[in-house]
Amino acid sequence: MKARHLLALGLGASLVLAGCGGSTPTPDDAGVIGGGGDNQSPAPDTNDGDSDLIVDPEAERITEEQAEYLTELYEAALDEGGNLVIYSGLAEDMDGVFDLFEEMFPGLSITAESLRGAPLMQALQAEQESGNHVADVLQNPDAQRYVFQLGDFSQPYEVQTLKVPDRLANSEDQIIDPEFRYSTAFLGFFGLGTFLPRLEEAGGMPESFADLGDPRFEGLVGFADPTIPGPSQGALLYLLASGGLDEDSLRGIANNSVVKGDHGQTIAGLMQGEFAFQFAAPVSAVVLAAEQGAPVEFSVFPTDNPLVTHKHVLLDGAPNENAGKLYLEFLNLFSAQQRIAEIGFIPLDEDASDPDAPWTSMEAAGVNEIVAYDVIDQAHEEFMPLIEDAFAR
Amino acid sequence: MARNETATWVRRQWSLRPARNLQIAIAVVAVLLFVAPLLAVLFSAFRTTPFGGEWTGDAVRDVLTAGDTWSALWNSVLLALASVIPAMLIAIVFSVLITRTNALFKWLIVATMAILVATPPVFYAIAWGLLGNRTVGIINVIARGGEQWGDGPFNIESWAGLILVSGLRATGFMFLLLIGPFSQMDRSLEEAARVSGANPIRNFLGTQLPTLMPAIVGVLIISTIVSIEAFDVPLFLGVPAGIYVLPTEVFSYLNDARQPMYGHAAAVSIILLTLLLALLIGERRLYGRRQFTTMSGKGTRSAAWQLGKWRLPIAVLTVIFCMVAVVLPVAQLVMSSLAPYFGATSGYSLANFSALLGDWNVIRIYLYTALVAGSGAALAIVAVVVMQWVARLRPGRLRTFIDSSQMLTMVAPGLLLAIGLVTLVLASPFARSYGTYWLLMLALFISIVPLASRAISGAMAQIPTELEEATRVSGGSHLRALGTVFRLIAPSALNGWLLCFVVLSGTLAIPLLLSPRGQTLLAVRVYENYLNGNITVAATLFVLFVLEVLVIAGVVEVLKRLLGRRRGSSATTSTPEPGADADVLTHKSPEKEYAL
Repeated sequence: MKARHLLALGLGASLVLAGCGGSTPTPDDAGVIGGGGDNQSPAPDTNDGDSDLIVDPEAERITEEQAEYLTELYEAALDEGGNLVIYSGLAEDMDGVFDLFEEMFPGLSITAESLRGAPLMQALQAEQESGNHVADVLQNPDAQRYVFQLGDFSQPYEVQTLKVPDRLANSEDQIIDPEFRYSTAFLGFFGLGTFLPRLEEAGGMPESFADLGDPRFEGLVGFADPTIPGPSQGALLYLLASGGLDEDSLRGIANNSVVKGDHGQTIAGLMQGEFAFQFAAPVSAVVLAAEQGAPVEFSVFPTDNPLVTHKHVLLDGAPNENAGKLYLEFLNLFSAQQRIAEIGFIPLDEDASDPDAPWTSMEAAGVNEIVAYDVIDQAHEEFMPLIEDAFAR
Repeated sequence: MARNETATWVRRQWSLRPARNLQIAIAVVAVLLFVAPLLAVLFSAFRTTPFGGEWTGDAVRDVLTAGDTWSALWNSVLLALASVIPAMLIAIVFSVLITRTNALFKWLIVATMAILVATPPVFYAIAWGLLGNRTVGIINVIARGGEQWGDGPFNIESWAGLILVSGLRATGFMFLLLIGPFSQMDRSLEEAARVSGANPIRNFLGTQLPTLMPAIVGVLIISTIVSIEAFDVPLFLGVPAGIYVLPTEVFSYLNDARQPMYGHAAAVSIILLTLLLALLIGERRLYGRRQFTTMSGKGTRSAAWQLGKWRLPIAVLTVIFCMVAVVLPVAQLVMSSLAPYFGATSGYSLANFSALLGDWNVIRIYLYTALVAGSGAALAIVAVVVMQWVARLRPGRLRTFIDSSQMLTMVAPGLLLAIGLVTLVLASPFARSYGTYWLLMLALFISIVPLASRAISGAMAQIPTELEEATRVSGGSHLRALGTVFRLIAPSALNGWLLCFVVLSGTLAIPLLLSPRGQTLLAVRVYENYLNGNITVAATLFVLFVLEVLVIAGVVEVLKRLLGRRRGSSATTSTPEPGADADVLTHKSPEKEYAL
């Protein structure tokens, strides 16, 4: 059944590609640039090289043709109504990026909603079933689930401005889906969040995630409930699959943990000093908390740090399709990549990384490969019973 | 021709029995609005998903055989008993102090209880979540002698915290329900006992309390229902401690998995519904008997009990209660709204306020919430007035059904109602209404009808049934009579609207499932910020909400005064001040006034 689905998807995508390759995108009747049959190769219209471009191609490190294409998308997005709706697992953390988008493209606005796990699935299903589409773009590290496993809520779109960095050439399919159903503009670490005033009580920093299973950290490790989909669960699966954790260290960590109900509550717990360390702290949340003045710090270990691909999907039936496409393009502009690094993520453009934050640089953090999602999915089947047993409520 | 004959027949039938036909029409609407969503929940327990799923009994079997289900049921019962019973005792004490004694600070007690009831539970839970935070909550910081980053001694995310916060809310709720019966009680018995030499306490326990017992039991049952279906406080304070009650168990099936488990959630809902329905039937039976209604206004002129040397200690205890119940949580929220991050000891400023007020998206959330809550509350008040007016037109089973149906959704927690509506809508030709303003408003309207009913029933009961007859004799229509009713109860309706508006503005469960995407309601935004660790933002949103409510309450007060001036002070059917309280507190019929 699954294979048949994939075959059908592949065939469909091939047909679309074959039918549209090399065509010149112009706004269709619905005002969609590169939409419908043109999704895969929206080669920009270059007949007006002197037109006002919405972005500076040199500053943003894109070609003039791409800048013209973005300008066309922008104009079409304005005609659509100008409000882009994004479902994101990190809506609050992405505020700075959203602000930049709104500054760069006057008249367009972003409404972002924090959705992940079951509520996200419910929203996508309900929109598909009722035909009342609301969201345009999905940002989710496990976006493949909403494309290949739990249904297909995507529409293929090849992002023109996205370039896979050389050092991740072996993981290209994790950056760009071969069928263009998702794309990844940046990565992010799950690292260690530390509440500095309680560091002394902990007797110093752990040396690895596995080290957090040491009895000296009893009651000092904050953990979002790993039986619920979210960063804690994802990070554990990543570490178990990659050998960064074994069963003994997992059980040790479980014994040392203060389990909170939700990922956000764990971040709040860290900011309030309920525990000295947060396991698998998302970099953006801790960096944001530190900027607000909380005595917290983000760090990564020399090895075995869970790496997350922040995948983006243009949703099927997106009411603001052009705005959605423009956003996916925008994420790869140099200024957006810089803003992404400021939040604490790893931009694909190494030049945009923050020298003072090594976790924003692939080079500094030694990132050469991304563990494929199917490996993680396999780990889910294999290790979830163990995780549930170790963290039984 | 046939069509004309049919129309003539309908017109004839209508004119022959207009009252009965009106009642039938209203009863049908009541079935669709209040009964159908509950039946849909039963239906969805046997479907894998409302989105074209398959029939299966797996979910029901899984739920019935899961230890977590019975643990949640036990927790629900335990929480209800542990919070409602002490709350009842405290509420009785305060009711006695207010209605019988010369206690100091009576206004403070009434104000505290009113704030407790009117504060949306999501905000109250968050306030206590911060106040009792084991590291930086004010209570613990004070208990540790000012040490900022310590641990304990009190942890609000625990059984003790859950019971405390639920109990405080229940105290306010029960006080407002009890104060009516206490103040309206016939005091001739008390006078007789006093003359016979009984001291006031013995007199109260021996003669007054037994008389009030049916009212007390009725309030106890209603409060138990409210406690068992409570979602917000257990979500914020119970779930982080691993304490699940039935409503949060339902939510966990919808929220804590890779995809929502609708069948399982509905199956747990059925257990919850059965429990609540049994309690409601008990309460209705108690209410239906009506043999205990020995109320009169005669004794209200009796002299107040003199507290003597106890007056000051009781005043101190009163102030302490008010501090714990309202002042401390609010102070914590205000402090948090001024802080750069939760737990900060310096750097207080208005930065959070200026950031939020400068954000058009936030302003839009307030406006949208006000629109949805305002229209839902207005619709509920109008609907309840119409239903109660139609019910009064003619005695019989239809009247009983229409009266009872208004309370039916009291046993449907928000999540359950939302699941029912989703199932109904997606199976109907109105599938596109899913995720729209209209469906959300409909759900909120249905959920608030029980409260609106209680808010209006007192004022409605004071309108003589002769009004209808007088209008008819004068040649007026039913519609005209209804218009007169609306005019007469306008002040009470405004009070009721305000109460419903405040409650709906803070409702969390329904918007969590039915909010139009991309258009968040205030409570959901607060919930998201709290869960994401943006505590100061959540606190600031609450403070701004309080300011919004104060402004709207001011406008309502002005409107009431304008109405009062127009009608003159002699309007016989206006609600006596403090009218809003009295209206919500007691259920009155044209013949007698009944305790709940």
